[in-house]
Amino acid sequence: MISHNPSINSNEFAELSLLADYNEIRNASTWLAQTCAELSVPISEINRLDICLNEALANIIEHGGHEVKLSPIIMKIQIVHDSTELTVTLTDKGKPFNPLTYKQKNRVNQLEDAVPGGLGLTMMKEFSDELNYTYSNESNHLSFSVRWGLD
Amino acid sequence: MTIEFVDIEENLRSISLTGRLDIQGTEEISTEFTKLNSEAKQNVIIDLSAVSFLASMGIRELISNAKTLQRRGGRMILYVGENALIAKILETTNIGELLPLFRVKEDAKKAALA
Repeated sequence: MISHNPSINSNEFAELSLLADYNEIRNASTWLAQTCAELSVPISEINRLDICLNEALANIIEHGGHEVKLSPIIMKIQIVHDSTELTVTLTDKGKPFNPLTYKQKNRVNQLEDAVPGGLGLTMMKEFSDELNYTYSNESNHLSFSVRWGLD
Repeated sequence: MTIEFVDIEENLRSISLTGRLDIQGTEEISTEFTKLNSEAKQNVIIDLSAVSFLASMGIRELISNAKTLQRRGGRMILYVGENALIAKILETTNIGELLPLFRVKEDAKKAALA
C-alpha cells in the first residue's frame, strides 16, 4: 500500500496504490478515514464512503479475474464544490466489469427465501449520492460521491 | 473483532460482536460464530450494538446462520441498541424485514422468549 497526499486542499486529491487482495481493503478504509478527517469531512459521510469503498473493492477483486492481480488498484480521493462533495475513484486493470449494469437481486420478505450475498451494489447505490462507471485505457474506472451540508 | 456469548436461559443464547464486521472481521469470527449458533438450543440474540462497521460479507454471515437456525426450529434476533449506522445498514438492505430488529435489549429478549 503506497499513499501520496499532495497538499490536500479543495479540488486536490490524495492517491493510494493497493494490491488486489481482500486483506488490503481494511488498509484502504483506514487511509480513507485518515484522509477524510484531515479534510474535515463529517463522520457520517466518511461512514457512507467507507461502505461504498468496501463493497466496490470486494467487487473488483471478485470479478476482476487474474488480470486484476497483475497491477495495483489506484484509489483517488477528490474533494470539490467548496468542500461539500467528495469523490472516490477506483481504477483497476481487471476484466471489464460494470457493477451498475449488474442485476440486483429481488427483495424477499421471508428468511427462507433469502439467498446470502449480492447486497454490495444495493449498498453502494443506497449510501452514495452518485455512482459512475467507465472503461477506458484498458482500465475500469468506478467512482462514487457523497455530498453534505446542502440544507 | 471479538465474539462473546452468554446463555441467558436454557433456550436463549446471546452472542455479542465487537469491532469491524468487514471481510477481514467476518473471517475472524466466522468459525466461532457458526459454532455458537449451531450449539444454541433454540433462539439467539445477536448483539450488534458494539459493531462499528458492517459490510455485505458480514450480513451474508448473519443470514446464512439465521437460515440454519431456522431450519432447526430456532430464531435469530438482532439487537442494535443506539447504533444508528448498523441499524441503517440493516434497514437499507432489507435485513430488518427478514430478521426481528430491536433497539431495546429487553424488547429483544421478550421477543426471543415469546
